[in-house]
Amino acid sequence: VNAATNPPMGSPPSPDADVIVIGAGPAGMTAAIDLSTAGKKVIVLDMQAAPGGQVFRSLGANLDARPTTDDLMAALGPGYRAGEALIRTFQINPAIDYRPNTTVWDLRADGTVGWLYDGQAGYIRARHVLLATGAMERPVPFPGWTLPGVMTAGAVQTLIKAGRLQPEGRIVLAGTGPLIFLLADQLRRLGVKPVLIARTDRLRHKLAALPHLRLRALPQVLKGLAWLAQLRLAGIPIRTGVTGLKAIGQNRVQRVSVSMDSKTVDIPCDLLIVHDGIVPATDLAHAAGISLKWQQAEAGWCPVTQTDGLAMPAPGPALTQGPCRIHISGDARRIGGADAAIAHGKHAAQAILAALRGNTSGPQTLAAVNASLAPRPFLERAFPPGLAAGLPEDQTIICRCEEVTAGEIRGEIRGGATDINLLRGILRCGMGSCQGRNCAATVARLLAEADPKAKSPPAPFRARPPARPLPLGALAGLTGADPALAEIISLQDKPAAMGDGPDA
Amino acid sequence: MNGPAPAAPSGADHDAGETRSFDAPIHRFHMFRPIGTPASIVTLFLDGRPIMAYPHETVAACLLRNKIPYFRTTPVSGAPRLPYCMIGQCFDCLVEIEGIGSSQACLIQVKAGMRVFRQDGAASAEWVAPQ
Repeated sequence: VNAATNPPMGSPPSPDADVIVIGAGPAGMTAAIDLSTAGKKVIVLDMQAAPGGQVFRSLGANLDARPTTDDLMAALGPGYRAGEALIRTFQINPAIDYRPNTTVWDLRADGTVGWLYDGQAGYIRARHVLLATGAMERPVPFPGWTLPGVMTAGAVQTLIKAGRLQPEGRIVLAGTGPLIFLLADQLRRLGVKPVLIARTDRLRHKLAALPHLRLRALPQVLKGLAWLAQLRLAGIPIRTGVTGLKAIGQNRVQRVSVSMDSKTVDIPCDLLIVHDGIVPATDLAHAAGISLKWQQAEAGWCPVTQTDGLAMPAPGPALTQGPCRIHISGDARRIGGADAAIAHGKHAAQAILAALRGNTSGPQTLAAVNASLAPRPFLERAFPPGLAAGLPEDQTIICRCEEVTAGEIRGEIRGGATDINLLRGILRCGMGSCQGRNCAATVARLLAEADPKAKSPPAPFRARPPARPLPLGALAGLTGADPALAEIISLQDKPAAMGDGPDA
Repeated sequence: MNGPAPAAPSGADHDAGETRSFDAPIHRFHMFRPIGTPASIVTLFLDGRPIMAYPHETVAACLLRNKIPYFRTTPVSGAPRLPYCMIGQCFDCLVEIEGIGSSQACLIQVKAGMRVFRQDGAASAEWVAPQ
């Protein structure tokens, strides 16, 4: 620790910014623009090379590369193009300290953020932190999901947007959710014809969802129906109510097996694209000790926040002193898509500005948040988790990193390991590179499965920094470390993030 | 609909155009091909052999376009893996990039002359600090 750059022991380090925004997607860009326009010092940290998030991934570069990207832009459609104004406004704002290619590996409730950029790492601080890290696809273990050639729909969309690639060969799409239709429509425009779209959702889900259809959601629903009509017109086979998905092959996916209409079909396949809806990325919120709530209908967690995004710490002893300075916005708070993320980014920025001024924010930006989330009750019922509806059979790998099966986890639970952290210690599930991002929800559900009295699955594995791999060289040269935090030596330093129980 | 890439013709000629630069006796996976024609080309080195890269690509997209059948094998069973999520969440695209083991290929843009190695099992200490 360099004495010249760090304050003496006991005095808290001064903030590097008024607000640190983590993530440069729709919510993060919107909030950063509003905050810096109001004269606040804003640092934006983003893991990607360019702003846009996953929804507008590489949009700026693809627009700049026209006309070579004309076909690509045409295939991706108006929903992708819609991000142009926001990205340009963000990019031309000289007051925003934008740091791309920067990974966040630690977050603390007092506004301390651990960053990694090009082999160098350090801590920075702000009066408020806005977590806008978006969503991830709901992890769905099924037999063969680790085989090369099995990918998520989001992965294929990223390869289209950022890689300017289109899939080829025999393609099967399996799962549920609006993204399946969007991707299938984009593939159709690229001249790619999947051999099968195997949907887990059924007509009865749509019927159950109908009473929740708001007028405001109609344009979105009509768009979905138009996609569906185009796919049928293109002669792409679509089946609903599909179960029992399996990927089969030696060193790669070669066949896909599904059950439909009480028959099992087995079809040759080069690329299996799976999608089961998206869930908030909760890794950093959890690492910061924010309370997570299990959402039964979504088979996953969401962070506990106020409507304006202010995050609620989990009960128990806090790692840091003082009030929680973390706010969560966009899909990282509630799944709603780009428009909802923009609306909430504005709302969260107003709340942070009010907190910096020491008063309360007005409700002006709240109406837009509520309007933007209006389609959600319908969509959630029309496309419930399908691949993740039941729990996997014993032979299925749950932890991709350490290759731990459902059977091994069930065995240890039967043997008395009924704590999720104990299971990690015994089996190493959640201990690999992904730090449990892909297995925590399933392990938690397996624990709940074995305990009929459990109100909901337990919180994810206890998180400790670094939340993402940090090269030893970067750790050795760490800058901005807070000497006061180095004094914490107790193993009880982290609260267990217990939520408020099932969906309130 | 799409103009063919000059150095990587699509369709049946694809292997003939690329195996010259990567001559390992491996089965290549036909999973992705370019949309449109890239403006420029750089070279990166995979396992010591030159492969063609486009400046807009991530390392993961480049390797998939070059039909590399696996990026790494797992430390537990030695099973081959390719990227699964492409957004930095699954950690299945881990490779060694410029001497740093277990780098996420989906998050790192290609650079001319970049040295990439596929990873067998866990990243070794030698990979973290060569020589």
